[in-house]
Amino acid sequence: MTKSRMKIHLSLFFIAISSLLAGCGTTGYLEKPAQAGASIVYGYIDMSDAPTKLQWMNMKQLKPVSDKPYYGFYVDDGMFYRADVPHGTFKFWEFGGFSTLRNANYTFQFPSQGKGAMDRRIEGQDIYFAGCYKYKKVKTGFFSAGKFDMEPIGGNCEQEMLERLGKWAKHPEWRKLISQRQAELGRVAGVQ
Amino acid sequence: MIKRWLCLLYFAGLTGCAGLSELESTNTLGSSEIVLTGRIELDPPLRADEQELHMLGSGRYRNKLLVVVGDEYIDLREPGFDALRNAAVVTLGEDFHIRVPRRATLVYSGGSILMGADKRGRVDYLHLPGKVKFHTRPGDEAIYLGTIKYTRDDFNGISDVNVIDQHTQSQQAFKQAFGKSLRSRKAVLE
Repeated sequence: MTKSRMKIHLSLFFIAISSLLAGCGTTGYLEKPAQAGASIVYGYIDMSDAPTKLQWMNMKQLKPVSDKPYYGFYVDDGMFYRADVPHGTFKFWEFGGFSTLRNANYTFQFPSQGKGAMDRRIEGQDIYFAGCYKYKKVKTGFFSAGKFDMEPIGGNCEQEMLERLGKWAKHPEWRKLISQRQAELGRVAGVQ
Repeated sequence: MIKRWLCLLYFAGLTGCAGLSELESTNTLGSSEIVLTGRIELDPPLRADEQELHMLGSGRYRNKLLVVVGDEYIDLREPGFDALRNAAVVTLGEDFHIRVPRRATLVYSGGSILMGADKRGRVDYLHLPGKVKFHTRPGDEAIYLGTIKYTRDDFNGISDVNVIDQHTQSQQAFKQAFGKSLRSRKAVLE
């Protein structure tokens, strides 16, 4: 490789990294399931009051015990989603992003003890909705640790997220789970 | 942030300022002190790999917990210097014998298990609730708190707390370990 071509490659690499950091996280398609009987987990956080956009999210598998307990999520403009979640007990662990304005990485930690509103027991193949929330900063003293709260967002958020999620679901198995849930919600709306 | 780092330092043993200490010998017990005995159990017990202790020095807190006993209740979710001053490190599932300053009334504020300490500075605890008051009498040399058994759910939430009376066994174990008995009385928990 010549020096000039290498420079171009490096420039493209840094542009890509910068775009990623300044952008809205990593999106990805839900491709062919890696294992049978696995599920989708998804949700949404409105980060308009946060110092950064949502760029990453992870959850921890508490049961069964695993040597790789952390599960990352794709992120699309506040929506977080992933497939291939096996049966087990999961706890949302951390989320965050990078603020170009402040030139700082922000990590927000969910409480590590007790079942949070987003946490789920994955018991059968399904699509698990962690909920829609708005990030709220909680005021603390100057020397105290930063705190935040998650305020549930009502309305048609789940339907909206399913609509958006559908665009990322490539494999029929995932599309089926999404459309089944959309049909359920449609029936509920019809009854009401 | 500062509070979090204080706790981290405490657990890492870097400050070396554990306010309360385990009894090493009955000869060293001062007249202004009393021995608090008991045992803390977790059900189900911690698995060997469950505490993710990757920070330098944190490994020594495997299967240990911080027990806080003092004049008044301290919320372990918002610990400060008071928690550090009134804390002792004990082993889960084993009898403890902590030297505490003699007071007419003492409060067991609960315990904290260091569940995670990573290299980035994230520290996670499993808090065991307390807020139990008990009284001492002038002639008491030791107070038996009981075996406090905390039952936890899948998410490490504490779903049940039972205090089991094993005073006789505890006294026998004490005599075996220290070669003599202390005038010990069961605490009446309020």
